[in-house]
Amino acid sequence: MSDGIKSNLNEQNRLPVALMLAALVSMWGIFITDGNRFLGLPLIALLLLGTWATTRRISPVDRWSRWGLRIAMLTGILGVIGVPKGDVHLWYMQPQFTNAIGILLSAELMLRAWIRPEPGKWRTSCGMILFLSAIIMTAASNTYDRQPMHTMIPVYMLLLALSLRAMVKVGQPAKRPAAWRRAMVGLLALRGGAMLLAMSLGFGVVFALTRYENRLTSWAMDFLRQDRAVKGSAIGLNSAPHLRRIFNPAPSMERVLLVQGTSTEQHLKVMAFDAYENREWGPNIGRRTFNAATAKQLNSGETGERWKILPLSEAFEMLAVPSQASAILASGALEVDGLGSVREREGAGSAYEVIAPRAEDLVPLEGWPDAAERKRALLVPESIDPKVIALAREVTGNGDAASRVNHIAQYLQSHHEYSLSYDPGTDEPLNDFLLNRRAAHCQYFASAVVVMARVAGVPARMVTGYYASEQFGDKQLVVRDRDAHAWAECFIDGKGWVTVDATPSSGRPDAVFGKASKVREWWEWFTDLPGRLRQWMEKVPRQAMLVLIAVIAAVMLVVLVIRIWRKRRRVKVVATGGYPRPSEELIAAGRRFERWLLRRNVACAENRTWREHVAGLLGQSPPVIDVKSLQFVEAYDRARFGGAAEMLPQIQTTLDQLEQSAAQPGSEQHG
Amino acid sequence: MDKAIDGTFAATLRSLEENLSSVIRGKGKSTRLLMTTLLAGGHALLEDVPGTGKTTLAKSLARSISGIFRRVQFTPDLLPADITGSSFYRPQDGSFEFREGPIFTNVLLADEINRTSPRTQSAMLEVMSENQVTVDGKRRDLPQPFFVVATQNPSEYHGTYPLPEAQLDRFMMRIAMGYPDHESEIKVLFSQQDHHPFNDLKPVVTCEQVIAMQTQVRGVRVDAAVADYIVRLVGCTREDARLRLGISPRGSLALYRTAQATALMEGRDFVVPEDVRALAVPVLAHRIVADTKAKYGGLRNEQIILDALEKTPVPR
Repeated sequence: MSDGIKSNLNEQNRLPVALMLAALVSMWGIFITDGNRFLGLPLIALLLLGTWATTRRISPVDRWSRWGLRIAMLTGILGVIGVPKGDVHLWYMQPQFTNAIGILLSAELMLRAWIRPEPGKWRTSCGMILFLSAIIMTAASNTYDRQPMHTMIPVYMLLLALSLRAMVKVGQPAKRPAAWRRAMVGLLALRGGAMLLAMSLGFGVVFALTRYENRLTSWAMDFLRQDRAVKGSAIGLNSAPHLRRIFNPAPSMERVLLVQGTSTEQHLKVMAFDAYENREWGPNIGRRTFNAATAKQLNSGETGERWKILPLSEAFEMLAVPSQASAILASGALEVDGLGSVREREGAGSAYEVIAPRAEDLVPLEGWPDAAERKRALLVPESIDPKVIALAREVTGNGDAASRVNHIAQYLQSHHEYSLSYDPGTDEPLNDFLLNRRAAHCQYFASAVVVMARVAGVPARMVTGYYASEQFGDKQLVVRDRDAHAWAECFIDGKGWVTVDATPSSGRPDAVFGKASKVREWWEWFTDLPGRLRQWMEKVPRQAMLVLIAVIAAVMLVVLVIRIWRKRRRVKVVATGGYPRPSEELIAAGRRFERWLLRRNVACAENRTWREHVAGLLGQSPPVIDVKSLQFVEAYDRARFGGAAEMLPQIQTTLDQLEQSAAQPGSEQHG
Repeated sequence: MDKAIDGTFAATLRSLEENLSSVIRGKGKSTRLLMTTLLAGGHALLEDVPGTGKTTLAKSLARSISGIFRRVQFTPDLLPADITGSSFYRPQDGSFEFREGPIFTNVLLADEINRTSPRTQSAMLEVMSENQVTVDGKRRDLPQPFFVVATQNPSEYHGTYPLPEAQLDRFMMRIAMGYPDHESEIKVLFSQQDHHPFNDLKPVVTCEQVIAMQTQVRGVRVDAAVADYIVRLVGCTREDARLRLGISPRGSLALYRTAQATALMEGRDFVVPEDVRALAVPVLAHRIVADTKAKYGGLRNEQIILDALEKTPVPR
């Protein structure tokens, strides 16, 4: 890197980091206003105000960044309101927009890297940059769809006209016009080369964005809608579970569900299975009959406990439902099978409500089992060893169905340990598990409950789903992919299908995995922000938002007017040398003193300092001026050239005294 | 808040000034200008008619600083190697040994600098601007602080070689001594009755203190308006049609530094335009070259600088 470029990367010509940030922020603003673009206006206007204020702090003399930021923000605003009609879910990805932004930013970057400022000679102005960038955008608009360009270019040209004022003073051409012209030509040639490079970069950026549009779009959708695709759909929740060595081979931290409600039920059923053959539970989803949900199943008039469940995954279309559910409210079309599994055909991914009945109103969602269903639920698989059957009879005892089921659960919990993996060998694994009292995972415990309950004459089925245990905010539980679990349901007359989870407590997902880390929690809270913000903004009434826009616009206008007015009044200093400019009050005090001298007919010449002038006047006999004027000059010099702003009150007091003594005749003090 | 002025600085300055005043009487302004040049890190040219105490002042200053002092009497037969030093061949081991010249000192008194040939005078160019000497291709740095006080007699022309503009430009200030006033000249007579008061002089400031003071000077605040004023003043001379050569950026830098030193000597940590105006003539007058017509028309350099001061508006 040459010294020229190196020196350009700091101080006045540093890379426009702020500009890049502003462009990203404005794009994010467009994200969160997707579908309701007017709501983005106040937000982007606030951001514009913010960048207007903060860029001065980033670099007080760096007009490049400020102009670049303003362009980026205005483009963002125009992009938001100028979008063509139609279903453009993520408008920023449209080529014409990315083209303009990409080229503009890359051109800006390249040109800034090539700029060699020489203060006093040719002042490189942002007008030149804008002019060249306008050419770039015009070229771009001829390549892609022109529609948004027609909106952006007039505003761009307006900005150009305003910033061309900076081009007025371009140095001192009077002395050596030929040399100056040569230098300008050289500079333009340099910029031409940089611009070509910039355009190539810009087109490259656009090409990459459009080529990987799908990937970027799906990422953006994930980010925006809290969607998290579950990787490698966990444990085959919607397919036939197979008894194998490891239950959940790749437990992931991805969030699957958010559950709101005050119920203590933690088991959320996804699929139930009642046919066991060859180590596999069935029927799988392809062989089931789903019927459209009945009015009763959708009856929102049901009273009872309510859960609100928000799916965060679109890996499968099944709904997770607590065992005791009697009705579901969802936005899409629901289907229910005979085993109580619920599927949502369309609109998957939106929240749904589940109602669980009070004890006296108990009716399972899928209804009471008919004879065929009961028969299937009582069928002991043929592969089960007679010793297992004997064991089951011995364990269950002779009580009623509930006590029998309790005995089964107690037996399994006290005689078996939990293990994350279990090698079943080639024979029927349940035989090995029960007869040899092996340690295994939850699928085996669940299957064992089903088999033993059936031996005891209690209809039972195997269930896969989630175990919700992790608190997430107030009265909310979050369910992660790793919380997948298996348990059994047993039918007790008068109580319906009861959850029977015989897995030892050390084997439940909350015990196996422990709490999520703080870092994870914060990251999830942060990534939920855009969705929450959007939901909040959609609730704000339109009129209120328009009022807010009007207020912000008025405030911006007032601030702009004040700034322009102040700038006009300020004394021009060529270079500050890093020191702050004199304050308005100090300048005003100086003017007051000059007027005081004028009134006394002793105006100071331009080529004399006040101190010399006042000392000369005081040296006359009699002195023609108040000795306090010397005090004023000393204090003023200290404030003006010494930066001692704290002298201002003393300066003003002395001035007041001088003006008062001038008003009174014969009040001059003689030195 | 005069944070730069601490007791030590003021006390050191006072003792230095008193030391010099005990020898040189009635030349308060010249003494202060010389001290200003020392603090600003530049070199001084004392120019005046013979017998006004130029050499005595230079020697007094040198003795007041407890550093090395060397004196070079510039004669027409002086060679550059007599100033910078040269390499000698050692037959014992066949090697060359560099013997340092008198330039390797803290204070160098270059007496009657205009009596030596331009060839020898040019040996001083690198020395004065860069504080280093290059002999036989090897660079050797001079000790710090390094201060050259040169003297010259402007009224004699026989056997003298006027200093080239390049060398004049390297002197930060040209100080005219002038004659002492009546009372002071009487005191001079009586003070040298038994012996010269110069013999009683003792060092009052060390080299380290000088370096520290020079560093403090650089920290004095110069407002943008004052810097602008300096550059306008200097720019005025560049556009003056009567001048063949205006003031270089070295001149504006010299004015900048000496203004800082003056401000500090007066107990301020900021420069005011008066500092610049007071120093304009001693710092700038010797750097300009009037064209032939102006020179022989009787126009003096000091007048040109005063005209520039008149033309340039003062910042407020």
